[in-house]
Amino acid sequence: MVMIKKGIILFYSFMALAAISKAQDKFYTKTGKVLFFSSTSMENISATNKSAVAVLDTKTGSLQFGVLLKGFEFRKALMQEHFNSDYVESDKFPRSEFKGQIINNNEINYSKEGSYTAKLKGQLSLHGETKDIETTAALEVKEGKLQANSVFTIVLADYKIEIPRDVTNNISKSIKITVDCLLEPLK
Amino acid sequence: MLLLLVLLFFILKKQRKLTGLLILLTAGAGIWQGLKEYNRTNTDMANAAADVKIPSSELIKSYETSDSLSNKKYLGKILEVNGHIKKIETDDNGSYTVVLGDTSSLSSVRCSMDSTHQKDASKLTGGSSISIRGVCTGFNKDDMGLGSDVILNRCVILKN
Repeated sequence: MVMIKKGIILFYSFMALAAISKAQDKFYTKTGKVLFFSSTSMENISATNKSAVAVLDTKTGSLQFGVLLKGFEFRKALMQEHFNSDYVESDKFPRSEFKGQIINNNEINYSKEGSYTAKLKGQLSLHGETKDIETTAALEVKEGKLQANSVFTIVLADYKIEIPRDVTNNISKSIKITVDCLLEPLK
Repeated sequence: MLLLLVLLFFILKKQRKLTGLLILLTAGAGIWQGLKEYNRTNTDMANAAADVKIPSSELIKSYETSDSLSNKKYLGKILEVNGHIKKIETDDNGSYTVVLGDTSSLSSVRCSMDSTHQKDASKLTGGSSISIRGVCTGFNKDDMGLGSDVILNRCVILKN
């Protein structure tokens, strides 16, 4: 009888342990920030989005990231309208997505506070086109959360985004993307 | 523009001061209108009329049934959504997101508050009913295990 009781307690402790470790495998956010910046001698244009979704599986290093293009806010409404209708065509392609992998995942200790550099490799879909991209992200493990920052550049032509001739001097051919996410453990 | 100036020069030369002045004024008004349009900022949702009024549960159901069909109806439109406040979130920059929906379901309508109307969200309490106006920016389908969300941006709280 005692043996059975001990067995049951042991079983439940294992279950609890499994649940805890499973819960801490995944980190996520629904309020990730994405900023893009186009710089030319004529004009600097920037826009921010603060509702990006991201999920990182720390066990495998797989990362998924999604952002809705209509959620980018510009200082000038006219630019926002042109961005949506002429460039990214957000009615046709409402979402941009990154699916990839942290290739040096074994070098990151998610249970130990500190700063790490994650090497990312994956596919970015935008404007109906999917391209391979490689970048790095600064990861900071702090108070059970993960702060992730990354800066990379995309070439508009890669995603078949055309710039009308009359504004070619105002919009840069490559756009700087800055990602800033505070990931929390998924419970 | 150059042509206009040359034209203006000739007209003024002919001493037709009144016509010249008129053209000058028209050109000035045109430039002013252009600059105004160029510098126009986004409309404050507090002063915008809603395209669609819909309960949060219906909006979620519509998107869960058909993503593309719902986008045709709601994407980029000004929506007035009413529903129960599931929770109120603040991010590390102090920006508020009001989450509407049924607490028993993972799916929600996430309303990201307009930067000039953040304070209004700080007074809200979970569980109460509310109407929110904002621009629908689309749908994040539950392919990451986080539940599905319809996203509203530049939101303002409406008095019930």
